[in-house]
Amino acid sequence: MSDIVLSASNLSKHFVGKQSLIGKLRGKEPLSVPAVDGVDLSMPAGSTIGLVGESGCGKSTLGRTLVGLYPSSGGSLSLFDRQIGNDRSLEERRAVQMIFQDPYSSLNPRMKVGDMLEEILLFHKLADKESVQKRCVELMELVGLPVTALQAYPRQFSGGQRQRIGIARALALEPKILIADEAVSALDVSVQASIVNLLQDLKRDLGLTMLFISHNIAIVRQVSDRIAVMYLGRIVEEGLTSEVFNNPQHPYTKLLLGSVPKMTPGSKLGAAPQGELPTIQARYEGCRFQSRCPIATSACATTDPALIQIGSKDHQAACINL
Amino acid sequence: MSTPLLSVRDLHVEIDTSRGLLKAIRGVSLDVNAGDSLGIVGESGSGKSITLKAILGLLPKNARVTSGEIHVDGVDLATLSEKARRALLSEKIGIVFQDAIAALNPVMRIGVQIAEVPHRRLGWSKEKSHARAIELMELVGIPEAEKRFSLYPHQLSGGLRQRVAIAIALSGNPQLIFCDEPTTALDVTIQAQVLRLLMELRVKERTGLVFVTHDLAVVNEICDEINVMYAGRFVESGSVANTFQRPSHPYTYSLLKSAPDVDHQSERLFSISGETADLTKPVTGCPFAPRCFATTQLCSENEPALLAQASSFSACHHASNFTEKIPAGHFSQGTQGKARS
Repeated sequence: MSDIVLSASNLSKHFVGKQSLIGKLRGKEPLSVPAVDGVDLSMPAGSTIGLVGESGCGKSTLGRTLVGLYPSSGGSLSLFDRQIGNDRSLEERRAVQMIFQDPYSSLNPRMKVGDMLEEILLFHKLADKESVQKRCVELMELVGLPVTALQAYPRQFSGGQRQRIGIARALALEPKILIADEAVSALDVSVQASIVNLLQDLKRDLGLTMLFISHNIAIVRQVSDRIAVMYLGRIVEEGLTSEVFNNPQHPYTKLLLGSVPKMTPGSKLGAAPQGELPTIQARYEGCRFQSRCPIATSACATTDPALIQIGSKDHQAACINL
Repeated sequence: MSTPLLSVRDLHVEIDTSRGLLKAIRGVSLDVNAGDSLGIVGESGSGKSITLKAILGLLPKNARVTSGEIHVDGVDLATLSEKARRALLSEKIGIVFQDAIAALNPVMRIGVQIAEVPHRRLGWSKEKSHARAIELMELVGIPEAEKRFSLYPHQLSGGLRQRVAIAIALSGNPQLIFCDEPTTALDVTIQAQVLRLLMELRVKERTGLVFVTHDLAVVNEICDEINVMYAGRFVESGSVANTFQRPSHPYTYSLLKSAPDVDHQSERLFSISGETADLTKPVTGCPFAPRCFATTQLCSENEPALLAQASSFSACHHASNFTEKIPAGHFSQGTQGKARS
């Protein structure tokens, strides 16, 4: 079956620390931080997957590993049923593009928007000298900016407009998959809504598949067809958005959703997980969530839970007490 | 009725900018009593934080209060000397800012920072202040307080730093806490813990809260009253329950429509088009008119005053009937499942 455009299987990304000479001589293992540690994720064509979790859980690292900004340290990735390694071809790189959180620092301040887009288009041979101008104009129209924006520098735009430029930059490469890493987190509520709507429209019109990474669970709910919940480098629950929100299974998902402030009148915050996300360790005994889990048993200290199917629905969670 | 803890009347603030004189606050009035919880919401640049800073006398050098009265516990701040004013403010009001790491002294142990106010200002002994600091650390939920007393801010996580900042705000037993986006930089789980802590303080100690945020859902969770700010003025003030159910200003209505709600999934979010008003230029008419769906000739001529409506105060010429003016399809697709109007 090939309606899965991008899939990760047991994907991991370990950051290995520098080692001192003495450490080397003593034969010590260098410090290794498994930011992404055995993630299985499939992205069905045309869908939006929302990736949520606390800061430090590995969401952004996973996104960057999928785009190819970080080489993976284990597991495999396939794009349209073809395995891709850490050396990606130009075409493979074009297929997966990223929208960054900070529209201020992700654009070159000394380059006019038009020059920036031209450079990308010409380098990737997506346009020639004659057609490049026309393509730039098309891109501006696509993201809802005036054509005059091409002659301006990034500093001349507001946050929302800069994020539109960031989206135009990603779309210039005609990607199949967009990874939006906290793309609207730095924006005001009303601007946030317009960028979210733009992404939704583009996804529909251009047939894109999207991974929407955010700590803002309310926004994720609006845009996603599926939700993946991440905790300490692992995905602990994944499924259809309505399923995960209406029927959360993993104790972490329940606590995470319970701690989101709500708009319902008279709402009272539910119980939040105690403590904070622990620092990622090199190795774990048993379940990673046991230290904060309200339903942990002695078996949790020894068994590392795998994602298992919940009922007959399109929904899976990694907990042995379900 | 007793004197309010804080009473602000017709506050005006101007800021000198490179683009000219910016009228950042154009007449803000508010009252806070013991145990009140007041939310101030608005977009960036609406003047939320400047309002707090003006009350506290913490305005940047290029900004100044041009008119208005501020009474703290019945005392007019304008009648006090600089020293007396500072003493009164620091006794009555605790402050929690968004960025805890910037608010803490990086080269001072956190316990010492918390004990500083009881020791220096309240004149407590070292031992008593130390014990008070430990007590406060436990109150705000810092585990192993005794052990953490001698840590430095950089050794703590974001959530713990914000708790230290709250502990410092509480250390002088203030009757009022100003919170400027205190949870914006935190994860939802930690945010929930901090919000719960603030709610408990309000109930236990009858501390008044003034909570500045752009997150409507947070206001809904912890505030009783809401003030919606736009272009340096309150455009709607009322109880959270009433305002969220029946907003009486088109801006509030639009904000509520554009806020994603975790309880509902909608196809499309509503977005408010256009930009906020440029306050370096004189305001003629309603500053929200260029972005408003219910605007008429009257709106471009007269700036509406904040007047009592059925369920709240609203600064809109069409407060009672603006919902009838919503063009068909204006909030299309974004309204399913959201029975708010």
